[in-house]
Amino acid sequence: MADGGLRAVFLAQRPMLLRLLTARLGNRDDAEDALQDMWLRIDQLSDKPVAQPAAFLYRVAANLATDRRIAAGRRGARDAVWLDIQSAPEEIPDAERTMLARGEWREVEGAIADMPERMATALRMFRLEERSQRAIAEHLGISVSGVEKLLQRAYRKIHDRLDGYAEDRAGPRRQQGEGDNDRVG
Amino acid sequence: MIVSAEQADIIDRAIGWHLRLADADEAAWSAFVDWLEADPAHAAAYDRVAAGDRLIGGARFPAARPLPGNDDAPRRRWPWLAAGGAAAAVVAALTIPALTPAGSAYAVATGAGERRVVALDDGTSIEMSGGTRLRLDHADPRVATLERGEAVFHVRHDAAHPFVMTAGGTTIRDLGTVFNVASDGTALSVAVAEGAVEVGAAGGPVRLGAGDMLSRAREGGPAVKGRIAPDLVGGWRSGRLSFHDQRLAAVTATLDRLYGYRIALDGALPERPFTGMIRLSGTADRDIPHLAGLIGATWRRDQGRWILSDAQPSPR
Repeated sequence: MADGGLRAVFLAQRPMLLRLLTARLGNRDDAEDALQDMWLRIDQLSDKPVAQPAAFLYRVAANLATDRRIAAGRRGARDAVWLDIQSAPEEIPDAERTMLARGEWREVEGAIADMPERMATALRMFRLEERSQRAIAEHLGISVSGVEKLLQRAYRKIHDRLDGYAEDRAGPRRQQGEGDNDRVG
Repeated sequence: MIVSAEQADIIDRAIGWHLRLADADEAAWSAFVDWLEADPAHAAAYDRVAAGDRLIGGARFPAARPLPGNDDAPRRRWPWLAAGGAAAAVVAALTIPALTPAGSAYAVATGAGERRVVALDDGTSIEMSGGTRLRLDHADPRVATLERGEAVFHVRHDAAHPFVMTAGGTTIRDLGTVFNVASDGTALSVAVAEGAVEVGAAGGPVRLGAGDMLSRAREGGPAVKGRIAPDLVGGWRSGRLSFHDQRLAAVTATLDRLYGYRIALDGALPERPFTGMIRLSGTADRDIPHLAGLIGATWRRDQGRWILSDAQPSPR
């Protein structure tokens, strides 16, 4: 029963959570659906009292929105049959999609491999180890704003790499190339 | 050019928000919502940043080398739960407390429906699924014990110091590899995506290469070797679950662990065998009706629980 408090906070924050989900998902129906999903799972969100329950719920909602956006993107082309049974793994229909996902993964890993070591370390600590920027600053022996700049550039590199990959696949759509964004800075 | 410079700026601002959200308080979240709502381009930019962020979460990082010029700074070795900041507080709250009495061993655990990536000092990373508990050692990043649950190991190979993990009373030694291990403490399933592992067995170690799998229902029981498409190893990461001749009760237990779905099976359904692949979205409202359709069951909801019943009316 650790979450009686969490339920109350959920109800108090509901309007703002709905706004967040609506902005992320693009429409109110999906946002209401996601909120309902959160409500049903609220017992499982945490085993212990949460230090900052409102911030915690926003984080859960933002993660849920990202999950749904990614799932929707993947369903896009294939539509209806997202749950099916396969007699042999070789016959999986979405091999193409898996290839795309793996391609994106490779791009991200390539971008990380190209990063200066400090940048890659900062990104690893921030994203994989969920360390605070202050902890990363201590570890690297630089200022917190230095860490923020490293992370900002790291995410930008990854974004630009993925952007370039998507454009390569879609064919030349834009007139104006942004070729020098990938330059190692 | 003005347009593209503006777009570049929006991406940078979206990244700035994303970095801030890691330890944002209520007021910061509210400011973020204002920003998202201010312009559809903001929401679109953030959407791409968030999607990229997910890919980073699953990416392999180059092995960390010691930092030059940092030798005199005290090296902090993974104070997982002790790191300062609100982000760490949230992590601690999400993670089942698993404090060891003494020594350098420590545990990392995920609750039902939760996922987490753990990076070890040696460059190895472990993707943990829900309901998983791992025992690790600060003093030796080349050992791990999977107490329960399921995880994909991306092991950085070092012939001089093989990575050795234990699950269900069995020792698995990597020979340079990516592999998935699932165990409830006694049952064990190992599947290899890349490279090879050696699994300890009574009659001598069994070597598994890419596309090999091995499963065993209980400790000391007979082990069955099989084949799996390497793509499908650790399929839980993309919501693709394969089952081979397993009881539906085991299937729903897996869904509970991975997604926190609470599903009750009526009548003879728990014992019904199931073979096949299920693709899941992570949204119960979609996944459970589809699962029901797949096994020819009807579903209904009872509070936070889902109840599946045989569609055929049973003779009375």
